[in-house]
Amino acid sequence: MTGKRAITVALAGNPNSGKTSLYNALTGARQSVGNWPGVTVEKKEGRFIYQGHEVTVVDLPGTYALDAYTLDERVAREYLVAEKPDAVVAVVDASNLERNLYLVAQLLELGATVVVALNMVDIAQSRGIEIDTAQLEKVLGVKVVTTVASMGVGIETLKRVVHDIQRAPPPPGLTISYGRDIEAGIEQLVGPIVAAWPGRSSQARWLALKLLEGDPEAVARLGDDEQAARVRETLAVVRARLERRLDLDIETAVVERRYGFLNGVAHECTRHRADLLRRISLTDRIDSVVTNRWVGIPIFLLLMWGTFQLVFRVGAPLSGLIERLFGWLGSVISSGLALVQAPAWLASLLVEGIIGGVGSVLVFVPNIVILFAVIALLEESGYMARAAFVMDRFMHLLGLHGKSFIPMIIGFGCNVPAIMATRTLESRKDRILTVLVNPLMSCSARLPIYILFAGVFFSRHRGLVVFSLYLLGMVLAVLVARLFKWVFFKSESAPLIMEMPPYHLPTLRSILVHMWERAWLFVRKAGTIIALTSVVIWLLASLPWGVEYASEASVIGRLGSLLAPLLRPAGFGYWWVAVSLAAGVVAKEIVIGTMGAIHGAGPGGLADVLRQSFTPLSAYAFMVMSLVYIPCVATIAAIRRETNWKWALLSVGYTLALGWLLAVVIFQVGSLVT
Amino acid sequence: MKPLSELGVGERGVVRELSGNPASKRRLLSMGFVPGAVVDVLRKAPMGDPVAFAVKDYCISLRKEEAAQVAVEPVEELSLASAPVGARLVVTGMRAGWGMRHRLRRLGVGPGSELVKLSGSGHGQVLVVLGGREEHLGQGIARRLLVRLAGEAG
Repeated sequence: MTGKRAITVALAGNPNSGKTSLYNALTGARQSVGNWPGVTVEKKEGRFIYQGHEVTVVDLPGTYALDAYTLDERVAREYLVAEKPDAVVAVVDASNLERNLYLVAQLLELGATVVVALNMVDIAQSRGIEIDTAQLEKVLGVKVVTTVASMGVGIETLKRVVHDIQRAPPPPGLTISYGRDIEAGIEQLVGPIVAAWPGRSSQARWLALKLLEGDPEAVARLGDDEQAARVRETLAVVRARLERRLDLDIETAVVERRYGFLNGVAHECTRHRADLLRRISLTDRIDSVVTNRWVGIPIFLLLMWGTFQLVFRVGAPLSGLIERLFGWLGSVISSGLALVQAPAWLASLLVEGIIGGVGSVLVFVPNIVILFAVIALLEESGYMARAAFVMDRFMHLLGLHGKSFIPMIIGFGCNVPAIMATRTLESRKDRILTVLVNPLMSCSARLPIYILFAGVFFSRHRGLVVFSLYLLGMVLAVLVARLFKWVFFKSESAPLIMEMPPYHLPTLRSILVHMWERAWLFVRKAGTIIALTSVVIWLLASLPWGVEYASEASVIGRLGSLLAPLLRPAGFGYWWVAVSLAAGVVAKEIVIGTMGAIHGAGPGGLADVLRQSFTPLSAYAFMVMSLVYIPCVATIAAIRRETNWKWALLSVGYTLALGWLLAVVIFQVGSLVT
Repeated sequence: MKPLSELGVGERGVVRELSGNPASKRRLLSMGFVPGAVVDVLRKAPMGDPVAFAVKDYCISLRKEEAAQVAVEPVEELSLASAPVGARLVVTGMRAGWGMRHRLRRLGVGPGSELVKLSGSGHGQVLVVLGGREEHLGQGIARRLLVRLAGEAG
């Protein structure tokens, strides 16, 4: 074959089936891997080359089915129907065959060329499950490749099979028989459907089934022309007849038959089926503690508390090391520049502007690395789903959803992926509410502000002070969610139907990959946006030419002086605080960076300036302001992408008003009391 | 028939039909809550809701609202507590957590072991003959020890 036609393969699979690992193993891409429902919510594309052919891999959202009820399912189905990829690799968790095959059956009914990647066979084996792949190939009429994606096992074979299948597509495989009555109905519908859409005759049976099942999207898309009216008429006749003849409603009957068939397949192809309770016994034992009526919530809170202790206790000495490194770098560069008699402004730009700004941000890399390591561990071990389980009643009372909890926790790391993660929420209302309050979850970029201020003003209780800020953010999130729910959505809530995957020990590699990604993202941000902002601020602080660096006479000083009176009621009406907060909208890390750049020092020197300017009370008010006011630009963009401009603007407006109000109230009330 | 939400922890039901909100009904069907499927109630969340179930060989949690959409036929299982006094019994299973399983194993009780119930149809302890010895078992254990009458087919 000489034609080097581009091959496109879609990757489909249940959440928790190891689809993301497989995607990584196939394409070598780097992205996060999770163990809670729906980590892969974006459309991701990767590539691999096999024998000179380029194969594009499209990662579909993880779904349990191809019904049109959730956003993820709609996205996946829309792609498969409209784009018709050359093949679909269906990732199947070997230890949970029957339910995973449900998606495979729907893919086959859609007319897709399916290759089954029977994944996590190692875990299945350890649970006493052995799958006869030859038999599975025979009954489903598809190629089956066993893989252990997390270890890279079976990936080359999979690439070969995908490559070969495109050259010689197999005959259309499986047709599930739905029994005499339903089959007669399908047959009756196929004629009018083919007449209405001649181009889609290969999907006619699938469409007939969907119409019979009452699939809202299929019904809505019927159209209004004469042919569609014929389809609709026939549908009404067939439905009426089936309602009479079946003892179940049509939808239930269809799904029941499908599962009936798959139950047979699973039994036929699985050997040594151990008792469910024995297989999940370890998970069961852990769950009996972790979701226990009395200790479940304390354990959850303890884990959250432990996370912060870890971030501080282990992070602090490492941060000290980085701080000293940057101090040393600054002095080496300034003495080096003095040696070659470089102009004073260059030394000022490098040492005060760039090293001061970037250095005071990079100091926090250890804290952030540890935080993300813990989050990755919680996600990949399977604990996140338990956290949602344990907290759902509470979240539900507060007007949110147990699944909202997952994006909220991720929000502690970074609000941007957290907001993306809200796509797992099925109802638009829950999604928008969770998105809107997410910026109140204190992301890791705000941590540097707390660490610095709490360290300077509350050194003995800094852990407690920082914890109180996180807690305040959560409380505010709840109150705001209630308020917005009451104002914008006065309807009932979305269902909670959530898989609880078995626990497994995450590999060190996947944790490190996750950690590295996040740390790298942070460092890159520090290296680019933050360095750039540092230079801009240095410029503003140095202009007009000849003023004392970052004095009130400089451009920046004048800008800050304009804004400062607004901050006076909150106890920190200094021009340089106003400037730092304004710059912080670019990225919250920049708040401290800007202060560092203005005062020309890393955190060490900055501490003295802070001590002269703030009291513990105004420092706390400032931390609250930093927590609440305006999400960073990246977060605003994410909110706009997941919702629309209206909600993005609302999030900017309410956070600014709320932050300012809280800071003022804290300072004023606190001043009265003390 | 009763709603799945009314089964207690450790109880089992067979799905008969689904009703209510079409979106969550469809979701429940796709997740395996189809007529004929066997559902076990595994545990409740600390505040009583949601509830974790085992269906189709995996674990899933539902709020009571969703569980109420699923009508099930409770599977009445004979437990040591409900078995007639004087009957020869064979243990078929244990609806017990890890701790209780461990204790039962130490007593030599596991699936397949035979025992005779001597007394205890009320609320007190149940006296059984087990491998030639007499043992007192608490009501808690007796209710969770599933049995069938010896001589009946398994």
